Amino acid sequence: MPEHHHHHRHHSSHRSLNGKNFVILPVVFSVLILGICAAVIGPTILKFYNMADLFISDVKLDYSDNYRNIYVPTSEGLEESSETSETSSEPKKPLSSKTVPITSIEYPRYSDQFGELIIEDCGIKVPLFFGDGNLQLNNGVGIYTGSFIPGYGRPILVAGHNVTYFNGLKYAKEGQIVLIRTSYGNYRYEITGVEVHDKDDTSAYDLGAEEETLTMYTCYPFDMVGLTPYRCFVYAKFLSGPALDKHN
Amino acid sequence: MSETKKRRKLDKRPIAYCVLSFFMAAFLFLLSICISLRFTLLSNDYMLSTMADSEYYTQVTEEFRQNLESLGHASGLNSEFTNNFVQSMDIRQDVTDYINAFYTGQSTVVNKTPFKQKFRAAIDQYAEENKKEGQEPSEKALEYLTNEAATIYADCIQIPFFAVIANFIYKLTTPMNITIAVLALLCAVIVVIIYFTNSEFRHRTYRYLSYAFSGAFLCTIVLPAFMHFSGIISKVSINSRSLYNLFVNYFDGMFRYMWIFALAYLVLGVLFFAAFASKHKRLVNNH
Repeated sequence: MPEHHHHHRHHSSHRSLNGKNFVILPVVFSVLILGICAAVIGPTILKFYNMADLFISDVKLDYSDNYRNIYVPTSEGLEESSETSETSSEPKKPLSSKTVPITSIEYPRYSDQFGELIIEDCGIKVPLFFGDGNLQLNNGVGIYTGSFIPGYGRPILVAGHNVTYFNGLKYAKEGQIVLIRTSYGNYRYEITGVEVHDKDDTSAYDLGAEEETLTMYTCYPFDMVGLTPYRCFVYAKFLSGPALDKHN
Repeated sequence: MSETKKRRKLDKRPIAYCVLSFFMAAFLFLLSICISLRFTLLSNDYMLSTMADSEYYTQVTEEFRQNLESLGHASGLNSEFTNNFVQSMDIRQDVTDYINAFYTGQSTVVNKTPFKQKFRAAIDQYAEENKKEGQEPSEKALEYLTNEAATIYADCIQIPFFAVIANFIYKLTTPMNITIAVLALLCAVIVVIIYFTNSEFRHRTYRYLSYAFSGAFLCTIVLPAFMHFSGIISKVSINSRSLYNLFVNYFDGMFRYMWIFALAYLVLGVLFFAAFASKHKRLVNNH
């Protein structure tokens, strides 16, 4: 009888395939192994994981050499402005009584072409970008993103290369008119001075000023092979153009 | 030995085999990580082949050309000069030398001197050909331009953070080879133990090997699956297109190794399960 019983036990242990173990045990193994790994290297990994936020963006970056052109020329303000240019000694507030709600315009993103800059007396008529990286300066002139866009009522700092788009700045003189055309309005400025400063000379411009001014700069000297730390700054005061209404 | 003691010993055997399976799963998992790292992060060939596959040389050459063109536009040089000066083959060779230097424990500083000499000769010739009245370039301005161009060049050749980990990589190669050998040996020992101590009931061998490989599969697949479905790698914020593509391809390749290991473990786990089921069925039928 015991012999029979033993045989029966042995037999029954083979009868069941016990397939659950083929799932449960590997899962238990993996949880244990990963748990041990997490306990051992977790603190180190966590430091890197927290740092990863600095290197991970929400969206994939666009690396194409193409830029977005959101500039659609408008005649808005051009007629009024031509009257303005004749009376350029008028106050700095826009002579055009119009304001443009800032929410109604397409605010440029970095690298967008959103206008053009024209100084007829200097033979300059170039695309205007938001941003002054290589892509922008190889295709036009660019507004430093730490400054402001036309109509905002604050300083605008525009950079360009002296061999290409801002070569004409060598002809810049006091009293010449600078026209910046955008999709939301046209802006006129009058050149008030030309100065050469060291590139690290922060007194060359004041981005904290509470009035709209235009500062254009390029490398100096013009038409010479070689690089110097000098920059040619062309300053202009605001004449006319629709103000951006920041509250609407 | 009494019947009870014998039975007690027999009852403990499954636990011992499960423990062995657990360790084997852990060793297989570590082995997959070590081999993946050995053939990716610690491999010079992998870095160079990833660079080729991700068109790194072409893109880095284009980025260098654009940067140099931009510098040239600020320094009296036209685009034609830049286009003629930048040669893809030179950059390819210099990048390859730079990578090889890292993996052989040599200097990690880019030697700018040959570039400076070549660039200076080119701008001297350009200045001579485009000489304008009253616009003689000053030695200081030419030197400044050359140094700036050399800095741009070195930035293109170098890979950020690579210098930091290169020494670590160089020192880790031999220990990693030893670790792989030890882990493989441990796995082999466990297989031998499970195999030869279950010669009477072969299906048990397959059962425990199936546990081990299935456990290793689950461990190995977690990281690449997380990376794949979270899309973290493709969202990395790198300003340079060439570096971004290199980074993404590099890590995709690294995780590809882990996918392959996970798949292999899964297949082996299933095969051993099938072998177990077959043997088990035969055994039950015989009884």
